[in-house]
Amino acid sequence: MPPLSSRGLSLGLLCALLSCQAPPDLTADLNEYQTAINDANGAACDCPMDLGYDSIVECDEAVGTVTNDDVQCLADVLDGNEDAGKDYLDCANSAYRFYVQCLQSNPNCQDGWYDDCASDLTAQVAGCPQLSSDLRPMFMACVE
Amino acid sequence: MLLRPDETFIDKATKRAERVFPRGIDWQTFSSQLPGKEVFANSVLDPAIGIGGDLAMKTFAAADWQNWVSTTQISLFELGTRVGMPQLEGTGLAEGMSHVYTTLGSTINTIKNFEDPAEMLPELLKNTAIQILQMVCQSNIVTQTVAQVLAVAVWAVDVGRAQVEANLGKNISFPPLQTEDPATDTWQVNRVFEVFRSKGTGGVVYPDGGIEPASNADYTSFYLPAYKHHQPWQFQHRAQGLAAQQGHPKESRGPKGDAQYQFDPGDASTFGFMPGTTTSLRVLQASYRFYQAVRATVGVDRYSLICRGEDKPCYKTTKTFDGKRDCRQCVRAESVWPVEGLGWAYGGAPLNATTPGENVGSFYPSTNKLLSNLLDMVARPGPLLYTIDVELIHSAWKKSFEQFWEFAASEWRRHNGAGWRGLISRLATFMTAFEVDDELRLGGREPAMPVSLISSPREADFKVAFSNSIFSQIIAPFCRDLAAMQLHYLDAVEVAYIPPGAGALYYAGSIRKNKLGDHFTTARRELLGSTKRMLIDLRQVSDPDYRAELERVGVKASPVKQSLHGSPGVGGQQLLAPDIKPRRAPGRPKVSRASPFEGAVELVQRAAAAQLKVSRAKPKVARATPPSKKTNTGLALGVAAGSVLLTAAGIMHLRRMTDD
Repeated sequence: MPPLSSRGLSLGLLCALLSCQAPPDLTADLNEYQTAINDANGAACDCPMDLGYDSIVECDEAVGTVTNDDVQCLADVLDGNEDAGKDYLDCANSAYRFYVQCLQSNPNCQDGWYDDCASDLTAQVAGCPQLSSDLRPMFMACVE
Repeated sequence: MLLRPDETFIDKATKRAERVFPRGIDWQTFSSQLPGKEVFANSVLDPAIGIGGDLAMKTFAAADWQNWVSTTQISLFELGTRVGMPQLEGTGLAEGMSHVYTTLGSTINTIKNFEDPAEMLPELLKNTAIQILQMVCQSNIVTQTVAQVLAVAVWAVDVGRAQVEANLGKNISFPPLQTEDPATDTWQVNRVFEVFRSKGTGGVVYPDGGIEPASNADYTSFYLPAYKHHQPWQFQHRAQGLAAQQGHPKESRGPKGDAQYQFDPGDASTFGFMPGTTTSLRVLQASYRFYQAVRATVGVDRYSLICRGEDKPCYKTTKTFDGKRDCRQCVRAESVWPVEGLGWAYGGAPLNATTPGENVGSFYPSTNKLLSNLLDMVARPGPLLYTIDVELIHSAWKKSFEQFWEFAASEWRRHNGAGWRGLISRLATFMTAFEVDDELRLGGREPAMPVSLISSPREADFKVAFSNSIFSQIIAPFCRDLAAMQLHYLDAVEVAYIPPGAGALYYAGSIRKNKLGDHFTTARRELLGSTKRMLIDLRQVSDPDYRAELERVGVKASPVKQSLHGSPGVGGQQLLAPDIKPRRAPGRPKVSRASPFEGAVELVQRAAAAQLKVSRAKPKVARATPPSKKTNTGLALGVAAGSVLLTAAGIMHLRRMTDD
């Protein structure tokens, strides 16, 4: 059995390690989230009629862009909740990547294609680890 | 009018059938002629320019001209065999085009032998191929091309001189931070041709043979922003400075352990060529080093002088002064701006427009000339007019520039430091345009740059108005005029010849639901009911559905002999329903022809003048002739410097001549 002082030191180190463990850095995840949503909006607007617009121009104007300020807003919302944020972002980013691939494989704007891609995305995002009920509206407000 | 790849014509001299296009395929691959590799090994300029030795401006100009000849020959082949070319007045298309392949190359001798651009121009205009090109583009293509070639050559010689003086990397105006933007000028040009071929294929077979014209010719992407325009702009931090582009770059570890940046150009089918200008917009770069000698031979003073009022002195050498501190630094003005005497430079203050930094897009000279010439051919009545979707181009550039302004304002608020704001201000200069002597110029390292377009870091907000952007000043008016032209010429017989899939009118196989698309449908319907339909050459109607409809209403195979094409009255541009007073045809969109290197050229010109004054003060300097005139003073500086002076002046003169 180790001496008490030694055990105390070990515990102290362990506690120190645990308490000082930095929360995950979400910068890369948030950047990817920004890129993915903007890519998705751009890809969706390649077939503007599917979204109810007559032209790419109209569609682009309507769907907008996730700006750097929006990303800062997301970072502020997730400040202190990095672990939950990372879980959600990892999953959502993956879902959006598939969504973009799905949209891009429709160069001729076939009827129903967009709806299929969108419903897949909705299902995948719904299956992601969700943010808490108080964070979720604030998170979504940043990108709406 | 389409040409077959194996098209022939009867040569009047030999009375034999000759081929229009050269045999073989090697000539269809572009390879830059810029020599050497040692200078710009890590720059976007092609493995380029051994200017460190005795290579001078003429050699560079000849190489750049040769590049232009090559890109012109390839692009005319691609367009002529895929989309079609306009009729040529006074000569058959095939015969006229053949000159581009037989005599255009000989113009290189003229470039090599020139002493004065003003003497070179008439000589070039004697060339038949040049005359044909002027007809095809309906613009003064030769003067504008010569001006661009000379501008880049003068700049390159200055770079070479800096290299000779072992000052490469700090005293010259070329991208000092570039790591990886997809490759070189050669790569870009060949990529343009790849996209040409991929976006201009089709399967329509004419009644008289096996030509497959471009049934889906959509060359819009050449004129869209290079990076994804729906992504916000982002900074990239470099060892020596700052860069910005749209979208997040990928950072990777370079072979020497240094960070390398891979830019995200999507599928590399967009090139960022800004319509209405002569350059593309790529990565923007600014160096942390703020004040450098324009020319290595110019000394810079070491310390700040008297500082009164609110400004704090820096007490730093100009070499160590990096602008990060908001202080006042006295430098020899020539070192930061090519004017005489001492001047004040502030950390991040307006003079930081002299910070080394570039729009990397300027450094693709052949790509820029190729896309510029192509746009000249598009922006005129003819088969290419409907190959680009102007509405989309306008929208994409609007978004790109708006995103930049949003980015600049946001980053400005985020960073209070004068150095940071100075860099943002510097980057923003590349996005502006201004007018000098009734001529639009792009912002950047330009002596004529108005201070009002350089946001002062002392201000709390980024203050350059969006109305000063290149978009507002040049791109938007260009798009407006081109869109008006597209709409106008739908009311001509030529509407029958537009291939299905033409980018301005079709999307994903269907006619676009916009004003242009609706007008197209109406015009074609009206043509079917008009007696003018009998003027249509059925062999040239590449849309099989419309051809069938024309046949149904009695149109027969061409009433016009092939050999008569090009004769007066045998063209497609007659308006369908001439009013008593016919509508006035819209003018061609206005283009700012200033070379992106013109600012650098002016700097060289002024620096040379300043240097001359220094040499005058030293009686031991030998002079060949008394410096009584500008040309004589040029001689006093030696042949190369003389050429630079003369050429810099020549470029200004040429640019004025290119206004259409």
